Amino acid sequence: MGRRPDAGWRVVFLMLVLAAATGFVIAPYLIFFVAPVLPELGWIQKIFFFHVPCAWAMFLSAFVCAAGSLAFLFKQRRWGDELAAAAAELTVVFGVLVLVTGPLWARKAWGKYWDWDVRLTTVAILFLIFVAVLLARRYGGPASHRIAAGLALFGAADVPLVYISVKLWRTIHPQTTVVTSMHPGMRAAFFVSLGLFTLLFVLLLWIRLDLERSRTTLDGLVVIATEDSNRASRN
Amino acid sequence: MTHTSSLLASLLLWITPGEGMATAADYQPYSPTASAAEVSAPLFVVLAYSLIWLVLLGFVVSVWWRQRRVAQELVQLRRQLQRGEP
Repeated sequence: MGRRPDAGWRVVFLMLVLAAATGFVIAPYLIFFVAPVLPELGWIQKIFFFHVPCAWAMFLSAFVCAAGSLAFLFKQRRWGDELAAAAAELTVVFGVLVLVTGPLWARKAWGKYWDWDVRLTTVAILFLIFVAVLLARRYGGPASHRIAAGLALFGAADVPLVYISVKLWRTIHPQTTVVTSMHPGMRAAFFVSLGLFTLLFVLLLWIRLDLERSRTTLDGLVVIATEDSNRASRN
Repeated sequence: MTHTSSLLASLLLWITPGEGMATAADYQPYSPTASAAEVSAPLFVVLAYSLIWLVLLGFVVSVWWRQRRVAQELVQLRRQLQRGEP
């Protein structure tokens, strides 16, 4: 197996799992039973409580991937490559959630699932860049990890553009002020959901990073086995 | 340096909305269309919520499955190395 976390880290992990499990109960309760249903938006507005935290987790993953990629590209840190691989996959996973929940809300709110609006398009580009990162890692050949790291930096550069797009250009997407100007009764539900998705991001990154470390150990053993085999055949 | 500054200035001018262009201030709140009124909001909320947990559960299962496969390969390889097999 890879480098196993020691007992202390295992306890931290279990505590985070426990906190997430509590969040799974509290967040839906707050969203569906405490947060008011605003007459002008109706029930469909409940999607906002998952959609925004998913987008936040997607942006966080993209930044973590970029940090790992920087450490790998410029400092040749192995952990940077492992972190980038794990975070890139999470960016795609949370990206799928953003691109599924958003259109479901839009169908009711705008009457259509998709619009080539600047916010929607920049998010789609961000998602596709990270799909490209995963494809480059898988099929890019000998320099695949370096190519993927470079692509991830481009992807992370798209995140601020996604955020400011609604401020710069005309858009049908709600503005960023939707969070700050939220109805006071919705705040608890929103921030608990945001905390839950941040926690989920940390836990998923943890388990995915563990897999990447196991793979690194496996690759190291394969190299040793190949060298042993070559030495045996020479003797 | 001058070239870089002029390039940055051109880029800023390019991304800054010019006169006559629509800006964020022109944002129009949506007005649901007739076809949107036919959509069942609770059904879409349940659908979105279920899809989120299904995708996340799928990801956890996929990581667990890949981790198990790597662990099996590691055990096999360690045995081979201990036996001194090529």
